[in-house]
Amino acid sequence: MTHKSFGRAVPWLLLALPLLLLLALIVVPYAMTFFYSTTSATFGHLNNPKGVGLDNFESVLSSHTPPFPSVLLVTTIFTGGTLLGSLGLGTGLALSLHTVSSSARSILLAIYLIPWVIAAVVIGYTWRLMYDPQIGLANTLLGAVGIAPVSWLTDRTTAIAALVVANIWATYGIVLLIMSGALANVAPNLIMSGQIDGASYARIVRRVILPSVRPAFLLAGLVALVSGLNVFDLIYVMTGGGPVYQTETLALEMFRITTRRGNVGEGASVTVILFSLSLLLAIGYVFIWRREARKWT
Amino acid sequence: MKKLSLVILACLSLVMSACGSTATPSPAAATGAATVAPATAAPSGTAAAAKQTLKVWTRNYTVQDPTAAGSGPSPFFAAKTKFEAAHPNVTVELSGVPYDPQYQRLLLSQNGSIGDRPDVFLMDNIWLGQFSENGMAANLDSYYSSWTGASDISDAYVASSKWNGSQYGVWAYSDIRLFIWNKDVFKAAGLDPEKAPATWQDVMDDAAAIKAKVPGVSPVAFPAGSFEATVDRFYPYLFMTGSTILDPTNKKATFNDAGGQKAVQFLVDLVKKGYASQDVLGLDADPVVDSVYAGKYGMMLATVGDASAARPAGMTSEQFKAKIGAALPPLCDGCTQATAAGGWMLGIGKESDKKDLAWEYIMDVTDGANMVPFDVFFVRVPVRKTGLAQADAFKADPYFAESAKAITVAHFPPFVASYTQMIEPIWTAIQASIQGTPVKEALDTAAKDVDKILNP
Repeated sequence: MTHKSFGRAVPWLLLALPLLLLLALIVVPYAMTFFYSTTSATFGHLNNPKGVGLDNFESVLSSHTPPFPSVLLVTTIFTGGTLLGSLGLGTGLALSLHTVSSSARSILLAIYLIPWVIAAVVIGYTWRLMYDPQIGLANTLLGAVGIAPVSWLTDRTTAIAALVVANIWATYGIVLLIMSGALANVAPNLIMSGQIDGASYARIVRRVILPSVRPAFLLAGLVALVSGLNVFDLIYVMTGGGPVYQTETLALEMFRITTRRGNVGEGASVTVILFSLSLLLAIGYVFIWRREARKWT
Repeated sequence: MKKLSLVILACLSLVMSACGSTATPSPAAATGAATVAPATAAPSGTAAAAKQTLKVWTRNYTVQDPTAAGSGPSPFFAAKTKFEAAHPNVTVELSGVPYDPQYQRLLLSQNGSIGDRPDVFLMDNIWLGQFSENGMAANLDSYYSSWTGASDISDAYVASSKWNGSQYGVWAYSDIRLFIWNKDVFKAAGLDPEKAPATWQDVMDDAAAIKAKVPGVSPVAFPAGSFEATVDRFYPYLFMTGSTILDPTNKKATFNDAGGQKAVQFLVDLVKKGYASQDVLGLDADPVVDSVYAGKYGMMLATVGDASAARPAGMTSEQFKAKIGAALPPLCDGCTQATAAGGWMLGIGKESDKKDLAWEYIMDVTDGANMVPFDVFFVRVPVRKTGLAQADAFKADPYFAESAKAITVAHFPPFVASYTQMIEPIWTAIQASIQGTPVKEALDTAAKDVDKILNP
C-alpha cells in the first residue's frame, strides 16, 4: 500500500470501529426489537418465541388499562411542554446573559448549566421532594400566601404539569448552551446598527438577533424535543407513571409492559410504535430544516 | 450535499435517541444484567475435576462477612464451614446480591439467557409459583417425605412452600404484617397509647380524635402508589373478610367479591373522611413507616420483620416500645383475625446435578442454630416452631409476641407464575377507587385484567 492510499484509508479505518459498535449496539438490538414485537416472547420464554403477527400491536392499541390515546396524549403534552418551556427558558436566559459583561456571563452561564449536568434521577428526587405534600417547598410557598396545600403528584393535571416543570429544569441548560454559543457569533455591527437607528432591545432581538440564530434555535428545538420524548428516569422517579397510569408516557408504558408484566413482545411493540412516531417527527424536522436551509443559502 | 448529510444525521439521532434509552431489552442486553452477581470461578485444570462446587445464590445481607465489624450473623457462612468440613471435596460458593438482581439472575438463568445456574437459591415467597412453573426450581417432595423437620415449620407456612400440590421450597425466614401506631400522636389526641385499635371502627374513631386534636398529623396512612407494597398492605384487610385473591384453581380472580369490595371501601373511606391524605396515591411503604416513626402519620398497617421496619438507628428496644405500638391488624364486623406474611425460602435448581448435597446444605442453613441468631439480628420472624419458642432470644424485639401470634393467622399471596404481573391491576383498582371510581367497578376491571393475565 502506498503512503497516499494508506492516508486515504486512515479515516475509513477510524470510522470502522464506531460503525461496528453502532451496528452491534443500536442496529442489532433494534432489529431484534422489531422481531420480538411480532412474537409472544416473555421474560420467561425469550428463546424461540411463537410468532403472533401484529397481535401485540392490536393488544397495545386496544388496551383500556390505560387506553392508548391517553398514553399518547400524556406523551404529547409532556414532550410539547418540555419543548416550549426549555426553548423559552433557555433562549430567554441566553438573551439575558448576552446583555451582561463577558466575565460575568461566563460565571452565570456555569451556574445556570448546573441542572443540566445533574443526573435526571437526582433531579427527579429533588423535585419529588419539592412537591412533597408535607415538607415540600411548593406547598410551603402556597401556604405562605394563604393557599391550601395541593396534592401535586396524585392529581392528573397537576402531576403532568409538575413533571413538565421538572423536565424543563433538567433540559433548559442544553438550550442555553446552544443559544449562548450562537449569540456569541452574532455580528456586533448588526446590533450596533439597530441601536444607532434607535431600535429598542426587544426589537433588536426580534428583528436582528433571533433571525441570525435561527439554525441554532432549530437545533436546540431538536434537542429539547428528544429530551421530552425519551425521558423515562425522571418520570419513573417522580410518579412511576401513576396513579392509575395518569402520567404514563410511551417510554413508561414500554418499561411497564416489558419489565413489570414481563411481556417482551408487547413491550417491543410499544418500542416500535415510539420509533415510528419519532420517525414521523424526524421527517417533519427534515422538512423544516430543508425549507430553512434554502433561506440561509 | 453537506446539508443533506447533516439532515440525515439529525434525523437518525432524533429517532435513535427517542427510543434508544428505553428500548425493550434484548437478550444480549439482558445477559449483561447478570454481571451484577459476583463472578463465579470456573473449575480449572485437573484439580478441579475432583473438586465440586455448590453454587449458592442468595441475598447480599445474608452473606455478610461474619468477621467484618458490624456485620450480622450469616447462616450461609455458618453452614458453609460445617458443610465443607464434612465434604472436603466440595466448595460452597456463596454469591449475594440485592433484591432486583437476585430476581433477574434467576429469571435469566431459568430462560437460558445466561449459562450460569445455581444449585441452591433464595427466593422471595412471591416468586415461588413463577420459578416452580417455569422449571427453575426442583420438586422437593422426595426430600420432604423423609424430612422429620418438616413438622417443625409453623402450620400456616407449611403449605405455603408448595406449588401445584408439591413442595418446591424450604422456608428460611419470614416477615409479617402488624398494625403499628405512634404513641406520642395517640397521647396528643387524648387516646390510650397502649390500646391498639381493635376494629375498623376503632381506627375511624381514633383517626377522628387525631384529626381533631393533633394538627399537622395525618391520622392514618397506607401505601397506594404503583408498588407491590400497596397490594401487600391491602391483603390483611382482604383476608380477614374471608375473601381470597384467586380461586382455588388459581385461574380466576376473586378479590372483587363482597369481601374485597369491603376491604377497598375501608381504604377509600379513610381518604374520603380526611383521615388519610390523597397523597397516599404516590407512596411506597417505607416512607410511610418512617413518617409514622417521625410522628407525621398516626398509624398504619406495616411489615414487621424486615430491614425497613426495624427500629430506627440509635433507638433502643425500650425507646422503640415507648414510642411505637404494634398489634394484630384491626378487624371489621363479622371478620376473622388474619394477616399477611412474606419472606424467603430456599430452592434447589432443577438442573443441578448435586441435589442431595444442596438439600443437605439447605438443612444446615435453615437449622435453628444458624437461623435464629440471624433472625434476631435482622429482626426477622422465625418460621419454625422451635425458633418461635425461643422468646428469650428475641427479647430485644418488644413485639415478638405479637409477631408470633400473627404467624398463626398468616395468609400468603397465591403462588402463580404471573403473580408479579397480576398485582399491577390490583393496585390500579385501589388507586382508581381512591380517585372516585366506584369500588366494584374498579375491582371488576382489575379482576378482568388479572383473569386475562392468568389465562393468556
